[in-house]
Amino acid sequence: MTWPKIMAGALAPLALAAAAAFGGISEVKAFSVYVSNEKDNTISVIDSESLKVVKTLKVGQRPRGILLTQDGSQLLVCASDDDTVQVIDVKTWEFVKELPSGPDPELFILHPSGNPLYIANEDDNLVTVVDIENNKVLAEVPVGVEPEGMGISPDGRVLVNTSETTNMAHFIDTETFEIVGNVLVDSRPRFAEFTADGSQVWVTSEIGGTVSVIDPIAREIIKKIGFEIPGVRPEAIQPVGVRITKDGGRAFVALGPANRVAVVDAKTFEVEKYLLVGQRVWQLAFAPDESLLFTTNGVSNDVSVIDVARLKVVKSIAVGRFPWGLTVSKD
Amino acid sequence: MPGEIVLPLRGALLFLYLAAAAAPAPARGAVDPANPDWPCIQRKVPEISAGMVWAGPEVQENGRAWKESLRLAELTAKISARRLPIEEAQNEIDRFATDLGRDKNEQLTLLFTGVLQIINAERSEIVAGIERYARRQGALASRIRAATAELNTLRKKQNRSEADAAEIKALEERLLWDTRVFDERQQSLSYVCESPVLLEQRLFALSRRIMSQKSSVAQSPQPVP
Repeated sequence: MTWPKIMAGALAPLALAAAAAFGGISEVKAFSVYVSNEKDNTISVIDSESLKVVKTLKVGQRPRGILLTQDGSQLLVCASDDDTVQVIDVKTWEFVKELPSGPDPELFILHPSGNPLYIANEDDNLVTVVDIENNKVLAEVPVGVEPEGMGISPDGRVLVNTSETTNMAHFIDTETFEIVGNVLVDSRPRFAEFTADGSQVWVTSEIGGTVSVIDPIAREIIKKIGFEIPGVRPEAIQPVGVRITKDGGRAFVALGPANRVAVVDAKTFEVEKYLLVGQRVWQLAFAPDESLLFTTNGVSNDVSVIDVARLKVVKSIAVGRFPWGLTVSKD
Repeated sequence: MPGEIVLPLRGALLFLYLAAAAAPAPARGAVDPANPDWPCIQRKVPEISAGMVWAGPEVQENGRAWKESLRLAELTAKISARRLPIEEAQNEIDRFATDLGRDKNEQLTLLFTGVLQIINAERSEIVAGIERYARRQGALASRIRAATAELNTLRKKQNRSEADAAEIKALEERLLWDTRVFDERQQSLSYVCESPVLLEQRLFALSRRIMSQKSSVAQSPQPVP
C-alpha cells in the first residue's frame, strides 16, 4: 500500500471527528503550514490537504522564528543573520517590508491583540518591542544573557522571556516594559508557553532536560517534569518546543536529539507516551482544530505529522535543510 | 618594514582568537557545563542509542547475532558505508526484506542492530577526533598568548639589544604562523562538527527504511519528496 492510500485511510476518521467537533460542519477547512529552513534560507509551504510542500520561498539569512499576523495575511520571519524581521504577503509572496528587529532576532511572539511584536535578540541580551503597523520600536527591555523563548499571557499583560545562559524566565509587564520577576529554571531554557487559561506557563530547559511548570502569579515552579526514554541516553533528551491543547488536557514537548515528542497529561504532569518523529525535533504547531500536530526535525530535514487523537506519527514531509520554526494558518 | 603593516591586523585577530580560546566555547550558543571543552554548537552526544532512532521491538544493542549470518554481516557493512548513496542503501534494504520469510521482523531487527553498531563505532571515532582537535586549539591558543606576552615585554624594553631585535622578529614570525593555523582550524570547525551529524542522518534514514519494512511496525513512514 502506498502512503497516500494509508494517509487517506488514516485521515478520513480524523476529518469526520473534526467535523463532528464543529457541530455538523461538513468539511475541515484547508490550511497551510509554513516552515523556516535555517540552512537553506527558505520557507517551505505545506498544504494541509495533500500534506506536501507546494511552495518554497527564498528569504533572508538563517530564518528561525516564524509567525502569521492575526488576520493571517502576512508572514513574519526572523532572518537572524540579516538582523531583521521580514514581512511577506502570503497571497502574492512579495516582501512587504522589514521590521526593525534589533540584532540577531531568534524567536518572537505577537500580543494577543495582534500588535505589538516582542522579539528576543539573542546576541544583544534584549527584548525588542515593535509596533508592526508603523514600524516603530516601542521599547528595548534588557534581559538575561542570550534571550530566546517568548510566551505571552492570554490577556496580553505578561510577557515571559527565557535567557539561555542566565537560566531564567523573566516576567515582563507589557505596559511598563519592566521586568517584574524572575524564576530560575534548569540549564538553557529555550521556550515558554502559557496555557490557554493563563494559569500556568511551561518553560523547557534544553540542557537541564526538564520542563518547569510555573504559576505566573506567584511566579513559582509548581512542577518540574523530567523525561526518561528506554534506550535513550539522558543527555540526548533536550526539551525545546512545547504546545498545550486549548482545553489544557495535554501537552506535547519536543525532545531535540532524542528524536521524540513527549505526550504529557497536563493535569497530572505524567508522561503518557514518547513518539518517534524525526531527528532533532525542535518546534511544534497544532492544526487549527488541534487534530494534527506538526514538528520540525532539524537533522532529518523533514516535518512529522502527528495524529493527536490516536497519538501516532502518520507522515513525514521532506522540507528544506535544518527546518527550525513553523506556524499554521487558520485557513 | 612588512611586520609593521601586518601587526595591527594581527593584534586585532589575536584579540579575537584569545577571547575565543580563553573560554573554549561553541561557535554560537551557551556552553554545555558537562562538556566545557566541546567546541561544537551541537551538544555532545557520545553515542546514538537505539531508542533515538528505533521504534521497533527491543534491540540488544551490543548483540553479535547479526555477525553470524554472512548475508546480514555483508549487507550491514555495505549499507552503513558512507560511500554508498543513501537511495541505493535503502533499495538494498527493500531487496533484503522482499526475500525474508517468517522471521522477517527478527532479521530486520538484527540488520538494524548491525547498522547501529557500525555507524556508532565510526561516529565515536569522529567525536574523539573533534575533542582532540579542540584540545590542540586550546594548546595553540596558550602558546599564542604566551608569545604575545613575551613580545609585549620585549617591545616595552628600553635599550633593546640586537639579540632582543632578533627575538622580536622570531616571535613575530611564530605568531603570524600560529595565528594563521589557529584561524584556519577555527574556520573548519563548523564543518568538522557536522561530521557526526552526517552519520546520524544516515543511521536515521536507514533505520526508518528498515522499520517501514517490518510487518508489525508501521511507526515510521518514509518522507515524501
